[in-house]
Amino acid sequence: MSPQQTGPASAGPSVWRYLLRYPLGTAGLAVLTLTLIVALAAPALAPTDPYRQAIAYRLEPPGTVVNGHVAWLGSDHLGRDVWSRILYGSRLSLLISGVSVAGAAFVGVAVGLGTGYRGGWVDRAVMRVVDLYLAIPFILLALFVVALWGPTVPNIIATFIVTGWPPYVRLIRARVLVIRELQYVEAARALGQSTRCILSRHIFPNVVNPVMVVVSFQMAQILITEGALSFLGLGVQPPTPSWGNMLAEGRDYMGNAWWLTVLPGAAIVVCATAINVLGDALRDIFDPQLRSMRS
Amino acid sequence: MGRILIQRVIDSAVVLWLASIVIFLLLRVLPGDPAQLLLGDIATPQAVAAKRHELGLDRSLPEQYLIFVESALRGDLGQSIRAQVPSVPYVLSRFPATLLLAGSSVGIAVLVGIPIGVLSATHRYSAASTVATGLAILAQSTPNYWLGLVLITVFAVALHWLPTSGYGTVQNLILPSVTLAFFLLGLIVRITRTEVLDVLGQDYVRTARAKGLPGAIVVWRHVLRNALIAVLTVIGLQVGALLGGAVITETVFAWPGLGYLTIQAVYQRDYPVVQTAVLLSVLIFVVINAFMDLLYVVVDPRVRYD
Repeated sequence: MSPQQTGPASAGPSVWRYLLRYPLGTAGLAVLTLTLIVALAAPALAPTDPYRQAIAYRLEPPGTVVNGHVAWLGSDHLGRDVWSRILYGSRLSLLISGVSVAGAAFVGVAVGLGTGYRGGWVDRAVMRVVDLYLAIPFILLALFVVALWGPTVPNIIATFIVTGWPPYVRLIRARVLVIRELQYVEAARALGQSTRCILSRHIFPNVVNPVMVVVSFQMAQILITEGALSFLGLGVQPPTPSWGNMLAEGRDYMGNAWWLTVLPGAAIVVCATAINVLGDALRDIFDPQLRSMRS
Repeated sequence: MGRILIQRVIDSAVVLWLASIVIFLLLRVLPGDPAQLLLGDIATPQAVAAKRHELGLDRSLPEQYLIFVESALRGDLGQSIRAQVPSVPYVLSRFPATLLLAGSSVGIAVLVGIPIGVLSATHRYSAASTVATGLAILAQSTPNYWLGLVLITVFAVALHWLPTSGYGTVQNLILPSVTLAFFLLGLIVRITRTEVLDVLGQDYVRTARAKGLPGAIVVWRHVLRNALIAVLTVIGLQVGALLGGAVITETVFAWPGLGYLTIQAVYQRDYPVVQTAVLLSVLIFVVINAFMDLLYVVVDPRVRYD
């Protein structure tokens, strides 16, 4: 007797087989994987130390020979190699968006499961808090947290988690409301299983798939917002390179060194586009009804 | 209908009340004594203590909160520390600029986005449709701070066609509204496309076609009206968010709206102004949100909120 088999089976490995039918989504996954490999292998791939300054070679355009090697993407205002810094920058940008999104999804799914299953006044209260989050401009909330505790990487990640969980609650709760009324859940309850067991073994596997869709869209969003925080001077602090703060630093040299702003920004665009097309494909696979999740 | 209305008003009021607590607390936990900030570094401890008393900062937090709510209801949210004027009229004076920017960018995005979205749904297997969808995803993956900087580099620095920043003329408005419209455009194209595709599959559309109506009439009369309900909701929510100030775009172009004012106030620790601006943007968002929900019920009788 295993009641969880009454529900639809979890998608599991077949997701990847389905994904192959979406060429754009597959391309997105490929670009994302490549970026991840680049981030991990940055020390091996970077032609120079991303922190090494060479004042004699400052603001050199792409293709110039700097210190005996070709700076394919030029050098910045301190003569540092832009290509090496973009490679290293991928580490922080991916780390921040990846960890943040995982944390936000974990919190949101847990709250959504609990509040949807329990219902009643707890549910109403939680949903008002979710509404509140959606009403307060995110960027201002982030500014507050960072201004208060300082722009360190853990604080930035914490900010994204604290502000990023509400969409998951909405998504999960709506599905739990339906599933908790199904017979197999009732059967589990009748058998005397604990709420915790019902939630984790019977409900969770049947609501979890669409979470991946929101995860991908949110990851692209956080990647972009990390840059926005840097742009406002509240992101990862220099000299550590992130795509966002490279772009922000390059802003002062916009008139004579376009590559300092355009190229790190282009890295964000490529990465965010890859994640978004992957998310689109996942959404089509998991649940066509999720189409309005983007808003 | 009446019950839904009352329920919605209560929910909105609760959200506003929660927001007031959050905003109140956020400003109390921020480092720096507001009395010291108001008087400057050279003030004597006695003067600071007197000012603290005057501002009510020596009372307990619940008392302070009650005073805050009471004066907020009277439209008084304190004095701007920098500008030395009441913060509510000061913040409201920036509202027209934000309204202008939000209006023009939503206008551009709607005028361009809805036709593209409809056409890419009705011609879904054409190359143009694929290009439109791809561009829409790209638009949503492009950070607006980056797009703004690129547009400035090209059209202001290199070509000298348009000013880099500023306010007052049509030329000033072009780059910021295009920057802001770009993201919205992607959103509107995508939503319109999926909604139209959805409606195209409905039975009554098949009936309309079966009774011999020309394709164009089916699309414009039967499909679009139903598809646009969801599009309208999304646009409404975006307008609600934009009216609170497009922080990034306004900062890139030094556009004197609510968003730029808020960021400057954060940097300058002008807390009463931050408080007023955030409260105003939450108020706008909540009101528009509730309004869109109700509109939804009115426009589409099938929708019911339980």
